[in-house]
Amino acid sequence: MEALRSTLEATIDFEGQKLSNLAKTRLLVLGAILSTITGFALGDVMIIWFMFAFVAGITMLLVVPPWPFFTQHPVQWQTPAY
Amino acid sequence: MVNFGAQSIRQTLVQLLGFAAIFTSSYMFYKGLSIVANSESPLVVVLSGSMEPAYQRGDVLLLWNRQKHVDVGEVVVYNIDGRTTPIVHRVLRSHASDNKQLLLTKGDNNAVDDVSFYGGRNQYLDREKEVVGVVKGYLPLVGYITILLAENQYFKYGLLGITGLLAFIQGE
Amino acid sequence: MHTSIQRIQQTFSQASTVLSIIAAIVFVVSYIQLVVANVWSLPEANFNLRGSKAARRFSRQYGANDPKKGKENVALKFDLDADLSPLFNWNTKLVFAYLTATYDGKRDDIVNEITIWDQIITDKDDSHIKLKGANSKYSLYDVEESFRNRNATVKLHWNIQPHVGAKIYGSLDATKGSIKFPQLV
Repeated sequence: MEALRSTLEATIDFEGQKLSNLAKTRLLVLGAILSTITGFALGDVMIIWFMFAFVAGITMLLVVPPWPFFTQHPVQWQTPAY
Repeated sequence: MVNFGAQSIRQTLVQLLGFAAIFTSSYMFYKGLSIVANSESPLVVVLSGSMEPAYQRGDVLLLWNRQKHVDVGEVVVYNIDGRTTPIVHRVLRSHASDNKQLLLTKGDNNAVDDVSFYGGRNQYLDREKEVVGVVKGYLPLVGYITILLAENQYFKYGLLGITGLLAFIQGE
Repeated sequence: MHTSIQRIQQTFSQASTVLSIIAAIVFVVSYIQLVVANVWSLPEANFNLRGSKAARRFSRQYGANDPKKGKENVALKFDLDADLSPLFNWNTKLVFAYLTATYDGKRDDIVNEITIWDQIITDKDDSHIKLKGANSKYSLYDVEESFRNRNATVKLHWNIQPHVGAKIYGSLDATKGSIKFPQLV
């Protein structure tokens, strides 16, 4: 039970959180800019939504699962005094 | 601290308070919007296809009700006494005096105007009494969730199931 | 960003914020395009009244609330030429074009406006309206019993329903085409 919960929780360390946050922001903004420019160039507004949804999906795949590059700096707990 | 499974009573109460905060702030937002727009129902979900292709089922409409007179060609939402759902149609005709305005409406996708919908022997809508607001803007398809929730069984249970799963995962 | 749930929530909320910013930008850009295309000063619509006919109708659909007395109904035949193509850009979902007649009522403060004809235009290719000998789409009747032979000014209105943003309205005058409602004999 606990094993299932911790796998689903998928926690990552602090450096990993910084990295995933950065990746999420940059990917989404870049995706937004690219989709809007594509839509404007092609004269079609619907393409913007589809392209952006695609980029958002990729962002989810890259940022949510606990990939190894998010767990490179595990927290060093001190040993207890007793 | 009394232990109530994985959480203490205090933690449960804090969670409940969080939900209450979300609920009341949404309610406040809706009522505040009601006051600003001067309409009893400033957000309406399109339920029928009578205004296609302009509005589809599931679009959310933002209403404004501070205009004294409505122009021909504007899209209004109106309520007839005795009918439960508001109707979203375009104004076909207007007969206006200083303090009263009579309107005739028709759905873009309908063949005939709305005369047969109006209550009793009325042939026009009264702008003051029956018009809930004028459509000023819209959010496409956002309201489809409310339609799904109301009409689709699988969606209701699926949503309940997912909420339960999330509660399990978030354990602490 | 500690648990997977938090990352899902954060990604979703940031994507929503970004999406609404995109929508705002699209609307602003398309509005500027309309301003540049000068859509509020389009050339006049060419309206020409070919003929008009008055008849007495007796059902509620034609304005009669007294089935014995009936109501004066008017049908018009007209030409219309207007170019609405500058209204179409990437953010235009559809244009609703409608031809109205505005006339006075029995008191000074009464203004009446009725729609003679309307059309939904979804494509730029269909946006140049060229009607010859078209019939009024709706049977026209007044609040009162009759139009009393009044004069009416005709205007062609347009309404852009965009993909994102607020609806945009405008109109073209048709000063050459004023109409006089026929008398019911």
